[in-house]
Amino acid sequence: MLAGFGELALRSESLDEILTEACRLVGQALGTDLAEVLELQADGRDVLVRAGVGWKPGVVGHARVSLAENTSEAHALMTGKPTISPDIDAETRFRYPAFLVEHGVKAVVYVTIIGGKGKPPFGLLQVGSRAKRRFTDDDTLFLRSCANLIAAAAERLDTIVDLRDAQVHLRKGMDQREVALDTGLIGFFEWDVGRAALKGDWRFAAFFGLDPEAVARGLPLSDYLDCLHPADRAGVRVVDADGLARAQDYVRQVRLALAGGEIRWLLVRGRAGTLADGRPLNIIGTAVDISASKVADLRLRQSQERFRGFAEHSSDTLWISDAEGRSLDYLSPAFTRMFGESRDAVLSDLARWRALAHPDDRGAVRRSAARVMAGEAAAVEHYRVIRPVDGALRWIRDTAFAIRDEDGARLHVAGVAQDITDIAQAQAELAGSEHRFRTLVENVPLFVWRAGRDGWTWCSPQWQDYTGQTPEQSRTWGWMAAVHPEDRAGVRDAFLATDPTGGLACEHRIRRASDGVYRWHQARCVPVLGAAEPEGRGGAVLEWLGTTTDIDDLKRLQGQQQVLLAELQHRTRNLLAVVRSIANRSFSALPGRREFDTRLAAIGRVQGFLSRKRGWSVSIEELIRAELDAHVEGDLGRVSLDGPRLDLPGTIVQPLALALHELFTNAVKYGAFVHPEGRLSVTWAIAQGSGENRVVLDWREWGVAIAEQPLRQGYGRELIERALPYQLRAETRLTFTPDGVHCTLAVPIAAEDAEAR
Amino acid sequence: MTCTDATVLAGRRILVVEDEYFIAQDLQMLLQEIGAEPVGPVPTLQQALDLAGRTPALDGAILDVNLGGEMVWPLVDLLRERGIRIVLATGYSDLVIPSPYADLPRCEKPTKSRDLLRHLGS
Repeated sequence: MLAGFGELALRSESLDEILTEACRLVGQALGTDLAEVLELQADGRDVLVRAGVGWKPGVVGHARVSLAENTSEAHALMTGKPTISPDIDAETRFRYPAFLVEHGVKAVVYVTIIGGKGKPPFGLLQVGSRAKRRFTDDDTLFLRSCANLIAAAAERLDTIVDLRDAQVHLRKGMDQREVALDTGLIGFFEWDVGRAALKGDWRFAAFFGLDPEAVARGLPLSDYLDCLHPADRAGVRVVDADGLARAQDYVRQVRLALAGGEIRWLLVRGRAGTLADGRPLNIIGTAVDISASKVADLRLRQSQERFRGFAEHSSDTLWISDAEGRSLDYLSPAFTRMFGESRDAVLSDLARWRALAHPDDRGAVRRSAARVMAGEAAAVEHYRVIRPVDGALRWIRDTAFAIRDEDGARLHVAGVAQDITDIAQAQAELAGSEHRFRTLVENVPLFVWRAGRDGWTWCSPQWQDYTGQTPEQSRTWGWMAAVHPEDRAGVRDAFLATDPTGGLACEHRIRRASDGVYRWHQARCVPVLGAAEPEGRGGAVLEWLGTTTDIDDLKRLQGQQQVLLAELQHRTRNLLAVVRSIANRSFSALPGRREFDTRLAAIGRVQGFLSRKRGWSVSIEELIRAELDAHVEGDLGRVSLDGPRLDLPGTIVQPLALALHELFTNAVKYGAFVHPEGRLSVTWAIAQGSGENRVVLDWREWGVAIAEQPLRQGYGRELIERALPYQLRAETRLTFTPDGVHCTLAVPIAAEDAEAR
Repeated sequence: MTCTDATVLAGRRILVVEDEYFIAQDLQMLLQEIGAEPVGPVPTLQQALDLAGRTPALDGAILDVNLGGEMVWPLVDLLRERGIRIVLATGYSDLVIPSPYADLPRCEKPTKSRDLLRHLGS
């Protein structure tokens, strides 16, 4: 039986097959149906059920028993002797793995499977019985024989595997070398000292453009040197001799000068070999084409030079410190100009930087760097420095950031310090200007407000003081609550109708919170326009800026003035009436009394006009019609009046009214209104001249045939021909045609009065 | 001083500035009646300045204060420098006359010959 197994153990190349067969054999031989091989694991901490018979699935190949605990497996491996437990229920020495108990094992025996020479044991061979059993010496002897056969088979198979691995490894190494050579990166060489010849593989030959076969046999060094850049040749000779003499490893970069001027860089590494007596034997080494990384190095250097060029010429101070901010690696020249201190002083002692700061600001110096080291991506700090060179105060804005490697580790802390003195001063001035403006807005004796489409957005504190509203209450249309109820609708309409061209001027009463009195105010506002649009139109209205002014006193004064004016007019007209009355009584029999009376009446009418009209002006047509009404009753068919709408200033109304009075008086007594065929036309127009504008009035009568007219002499004629030119600078012409009177009056008028309204 | 002797102003050249035609005519007649020689009348400040400028020998002036909206003060300054006696003919009360001119003699319209003699005669 053992002989059959021994044959299998020598023949089979499957360890699992051998182990399983061994379990089957021992189980059969000892009359039990449970057997297993436990393999010691490489870490030595536990054993694996490597093979077995009679076990349920999940045990073989999976179940492990720890050697750390007090198990019979550990005991067997440690002692190297068979370990037997005839009745595990009565066993006090060991604990047993759960799967043994679950399979109903009552008695068990272990023998060691030894390892190869100098190796730890392979593991254990175990047989279990479901009944209590006292295993005999024969049993254990048999088991040990089996275990030895297993050990031999395992050793044999282990050797085969090692051999196979070695073969695979060898093949793999060769493949790698071939790949490396094919990609043209590595060439191998050997410098044979005795022959003074340099040998190399085909790639090494290819680097130098030499015949591969000649290189394989070996060529003098000079053949290779001819291929190098002339500047590198001497160096190679010297270093090689030196390296050989001292039997050291040597590393050298040389340039290959290729046809067409191309340069390629080779990194040559070699190791000197010596004979047993210390004499130099050879140098064996590799040559690698490192042109690509050389180009990258060059680019990096150029990039650094560009940075330096930028940094050296920048008007800002650029600084780079180590990762912990302890000292500066770089500081640009602008530092000296900006801080008035030499660069070297700060480069050698970073604390010197802090000493430059204004005493109140020292804490902010280098704090940006500290914040970056604390984890911020970038940090900005402002501080003032007092320059040692001239004592000038400068404002500095210092921005720091971290320079990190690809893995995010901080390599440096760097930053830019800018002189922002001009900006800081401008800001200070702006702040001062804003403060002054705010002081003005908040103290002028009127309310200042801002408004948008939805009413007020802001109002100055005076409004709150006056009305008792909070800022929130006054927003949007809330301020209307302080407006007199009777005025609210009008105010709202006026605000909503405000347009950018017309602005707003609206009077209303506002309640004063302190005494509950409503006082008259006037609101005005102007639009704040956005940028003009390309079509030349003005920009959109962004918002409205407005003021509300107390005009209550003004209103009262205006009212008083109205009363006074009305009183004055009343008295003037009353006085004229009294004068007329006195004259009538005094001169009842005198010629001319009636003319005097009607002239005073005309003056009275003018006074009446002027008192009724606002702005001290009278419409010319109204003036003419008033005189017409005063002189003519009924039949107006013979009269035609025509001219533009025109208001006459008060200064010319009275003289003109008196002139019209004279003309009408004459027409009623002797002219157009006397004769059945008589006609009167009064036309007026504005004549625009180069120097000034004139009102030209044309009076023309027809169908009048009368020889003698009073107008030919006396007051009326003097008025028209002398008084009007004298006091109005008027040009007048009074003619008496056979058909009737023709009179033209051209009166200068100020430009603003000449616009027909 | 009260002087009612009409001969005091005889031959004296008196500037008349008055924008109201008929009042100016009355003043002119008044001066002629008392033997004085009226210069003017003119209705505007500019005309009055021109006339005064080209009339070297002036003995006095009767000036309306408001000339079609313009105040007569520049002319007053000019005449004062020349030492010419001035009478303001105005309906304005003291309140409206600026302080530099408050001491000028005034006579209310309608102007009377007695007032003129009192202020212009010497």
